[in-house]
Amino acid sequence: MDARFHRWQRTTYRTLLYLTIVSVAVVMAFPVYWMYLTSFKTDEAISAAEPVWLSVDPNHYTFGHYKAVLGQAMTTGDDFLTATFNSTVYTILATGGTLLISAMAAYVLAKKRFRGDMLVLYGIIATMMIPAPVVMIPTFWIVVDLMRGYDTFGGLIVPGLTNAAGIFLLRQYMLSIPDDLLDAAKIDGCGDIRIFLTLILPLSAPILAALGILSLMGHWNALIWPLILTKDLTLLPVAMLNLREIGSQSFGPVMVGAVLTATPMILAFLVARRYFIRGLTSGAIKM
Amino acid sequence: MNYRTRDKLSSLAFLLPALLLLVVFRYGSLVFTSVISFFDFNMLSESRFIGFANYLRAAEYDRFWWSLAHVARYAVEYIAGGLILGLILALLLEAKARFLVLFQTLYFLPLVLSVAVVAWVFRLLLAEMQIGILNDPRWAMEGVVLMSLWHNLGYFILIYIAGLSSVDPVLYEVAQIDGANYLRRAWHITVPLLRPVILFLSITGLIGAFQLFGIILVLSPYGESAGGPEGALEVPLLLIYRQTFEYQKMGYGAALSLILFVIILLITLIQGKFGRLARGVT
Repeated sequence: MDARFHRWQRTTYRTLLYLTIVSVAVVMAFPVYWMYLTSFKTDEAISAAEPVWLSVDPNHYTFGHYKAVLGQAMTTGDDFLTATFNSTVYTILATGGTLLISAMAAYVLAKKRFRGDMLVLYGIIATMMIPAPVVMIPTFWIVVDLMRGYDTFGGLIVPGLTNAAGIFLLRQYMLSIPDDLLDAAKIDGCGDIRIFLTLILPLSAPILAALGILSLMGHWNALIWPLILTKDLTLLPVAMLNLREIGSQSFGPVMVGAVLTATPMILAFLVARRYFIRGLTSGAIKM
Repeated sequence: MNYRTRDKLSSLAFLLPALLLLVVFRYGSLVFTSVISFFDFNMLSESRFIGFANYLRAAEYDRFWWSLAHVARYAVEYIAGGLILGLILALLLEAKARFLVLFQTLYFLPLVLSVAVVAWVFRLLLAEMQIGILNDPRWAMEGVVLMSLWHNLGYFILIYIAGLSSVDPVLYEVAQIDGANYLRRAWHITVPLLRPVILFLSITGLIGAFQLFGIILVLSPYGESAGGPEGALEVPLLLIYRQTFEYQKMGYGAALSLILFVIILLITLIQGKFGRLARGVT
């Protein structure tokens, strides 16, 4: 702000600034608010000509959609309770696996010298240039024909366990772990497994958290791969997609599904906001 | 077994899972995609070598080329919107607003949602406000741009803010002493220094835009297959998905996805060149 600004100019400027920031925040938050509100609204309130959006009249609200969605299997087997369970299992296993496998590779790439180590690193980084859809068909073939993984957790999880960006992110962080520490542990007779478990993993906790939250969201929200690979093993985003069948006739149950899909990630974001931001930005700045 | 050999072996064991997965599911699959694009390949019957037939068919597949035009339009609007709105909001947030954390949280919130949720919530909102944009073949794609912008604007802002924090504040002070006002400082200092950030955002945005698919799937009217009114929302991945998994023409799908891959690669390279040139001039 220029010193030349008169007081009223400065006030106008400030007001405009806040006005813009606040109105954009409202635009960003409103659809989320609407999702939660609609999931509690009666069908009449949802289809009312005058949108109900701040009413405190209890007649406008109901738990009915939650009871319907959680209580019984809906059309085409979209049982949201099962889907929530499936999504939880899939996300936890896939995220845990991704973290473990990436951290193991990153440890070697950061702390070991061997012939061709840079070649391996570049080979890993280069895979980031291959968009997922290009390898989708062979992946499907490998998983279904060779692994017999159609409609299984294993088939869902295994192809997604590799994350080149994640390996690179972890490796860059692990470079900063002092070698002296590892040497001291080696002199004490620690093998690689002990060093990895008791030194590398705890010291990399912040960056593991950053990669973990991104991986968590990526897996939980994944739509295309689960859609292709599963028939009965429905995950939440696929269940949301299948709701097209009943869709616009009744938004209430659909919004319950949306709430079930969105809420865990919103909570995870609020809890681990710092790590989420760190994960997203460090991937970019390193470019 | 001496120490060195043991060390080598354990290094290999630590690397193996990641390498194996990457070699099989990235490099192997890329090669496999290329190979089966020359075959009449499906998982039900014997595959047959057919040379360039899949590519020749692709050349005449008008809907595919139109779908590329659709995503190109989407990409331009989405990236331009994200770059401009993101920059403005990042600058405003940077201007030392109070409650910064609160606003950042609200701005980044949509980022954590699944496209399935985003598409549904917007279908609801548009239906309630009686805005028929998604049923109008001329404007349906703009509806999708709107959703994607709402969904991902936080990412643009986030990356801009990270870039802004690396701009040396001394530059602003010098410019201020020289009498440059806020807008001039933003245009002459911030924007040029953010060029690498802008390049990064437009390249990643473009790669993502050409893979637009999830939202389109959810938007399709119930009971019908996706593609929007008069096919206005037909995107390359939708057609590839249809050919591959609905019509079981996997070789053809592979050829189409390779064409898409090459197009994305070319545009990325041109963008990179263009970005570097622009940087070299200043």
